[in-house]
Amino acid sequence: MAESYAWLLVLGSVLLCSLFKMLLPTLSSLMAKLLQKDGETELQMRIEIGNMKQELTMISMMDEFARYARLERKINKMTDKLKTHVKTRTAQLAKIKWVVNIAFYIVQAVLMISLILKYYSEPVAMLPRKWMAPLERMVAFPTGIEGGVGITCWLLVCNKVVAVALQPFG
Amino acid sequence: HLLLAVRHRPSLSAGGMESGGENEQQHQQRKKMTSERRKAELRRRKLLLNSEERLNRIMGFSKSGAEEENLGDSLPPYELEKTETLQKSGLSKRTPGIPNDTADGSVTSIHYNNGTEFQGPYSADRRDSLNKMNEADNDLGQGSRHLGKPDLPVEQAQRAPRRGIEQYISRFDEAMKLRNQLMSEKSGHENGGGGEEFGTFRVFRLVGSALLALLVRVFVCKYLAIFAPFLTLQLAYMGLSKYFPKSEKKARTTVLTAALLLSGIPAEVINHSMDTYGKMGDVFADLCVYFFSFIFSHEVIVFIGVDLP
Repeated sequence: MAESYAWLLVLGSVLLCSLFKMLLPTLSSLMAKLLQKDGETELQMRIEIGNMKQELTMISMMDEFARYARLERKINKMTDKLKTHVKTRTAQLAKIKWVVNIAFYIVQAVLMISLILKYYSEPVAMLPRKWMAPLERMVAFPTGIEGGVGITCWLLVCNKVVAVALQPFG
Repeated sequence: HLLLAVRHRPSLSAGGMESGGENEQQHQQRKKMTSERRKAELRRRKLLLNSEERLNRIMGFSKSGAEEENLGDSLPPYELEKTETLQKSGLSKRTPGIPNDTADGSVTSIHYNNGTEFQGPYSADRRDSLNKMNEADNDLGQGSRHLGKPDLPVEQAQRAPRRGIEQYISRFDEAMKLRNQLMSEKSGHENGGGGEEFGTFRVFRLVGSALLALLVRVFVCKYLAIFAPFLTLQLAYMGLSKYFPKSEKKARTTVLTAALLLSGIPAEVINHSMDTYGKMGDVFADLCVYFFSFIFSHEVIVFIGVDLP
């Protein structure tokens, strides 16, 4: 017969998966920060570009054209370098996000399949048969035990309820 | 003062003769300029007023062409010619500056001045502009005559590609609008506006379902199956929905609705189906909350050890 807390275990698993899914973006950015160690280089480049631009405003184009042009070329070169750097970093971040998402979905699928296999023939909760009329068979699927609540029905219900409950926080 | 005026007069008249000649020349020049300006203005007005009609004729969407088509279905050929002439005379009356042959043989030109129509006498200096306009009209008239000729099979053959073009253009417009809408909705969704919004009625439904499940577990389940009160509750919600403020649901254009629209399914059918689907979703959510609350309350009661059936 049904284990006492099977329904609670399934509910807990679904809740955990949903909470983890909500925190996926934060997790991805944390992992990106850990793996991408050259964030300081980018900051330094930005500071340098800012300083050079400030210097450029103080140089008169008419009086010191050569110096002005040289500095402008330097700024452009640094800006291009920064753009390339940002592009690479963004691409890396997207890759990390993708990997984290895929990993999460694999873990979730494995968890759900293992729960279904564990409670395939055993209901997660038992109720009197007449309470479930006329949907007792559908509710009991795949156990076949009348009055029992099957894993698929309970998973579906828990997923929907947790989604509704977490919607305001999403 | 009188003496001064008298003395000045001969001098004025002498100089006046010369200046009078110059004045006359200037006057004639001005007259010529104004007549040229008038011609240009007439031409401009004619072009502006007829441009839409010309465009429609080029694209094959002319109203008169459509009318002729309709007539072509019902009227015999000699009647069609009659209606053509009637339409042309109507057109000529509507457009400004077009020569209008009156009953006594004189030609008058009809002009619009400050929105009011008036017929002025046909003057020689307008002849050129009117002739040009006449030629242009004749060209168009011939074109329309060609279009409107009572050659039914040819007309029918022309009708089909026109309708096809119309349909194509309207579908293309719809596709472009949908594309823009989808792109704007996608950007809005990415900014954080995604997901259904919790309206007051939705919250009321969910809370009501949970409370009913608790009541049913405590009082009702020994007499009835648990789904019967749920059905009664849903019927009650259907009646109560009109008392709640209806939140304006923004019609979300998804890829599915766009594909359905482009495949030819009318928008009303799609909207109706989406509404029905939305309502079914609400009922399903209520059922899930109801069932979950029932099982949860049952397990809590069993855990506590309260003696309830």
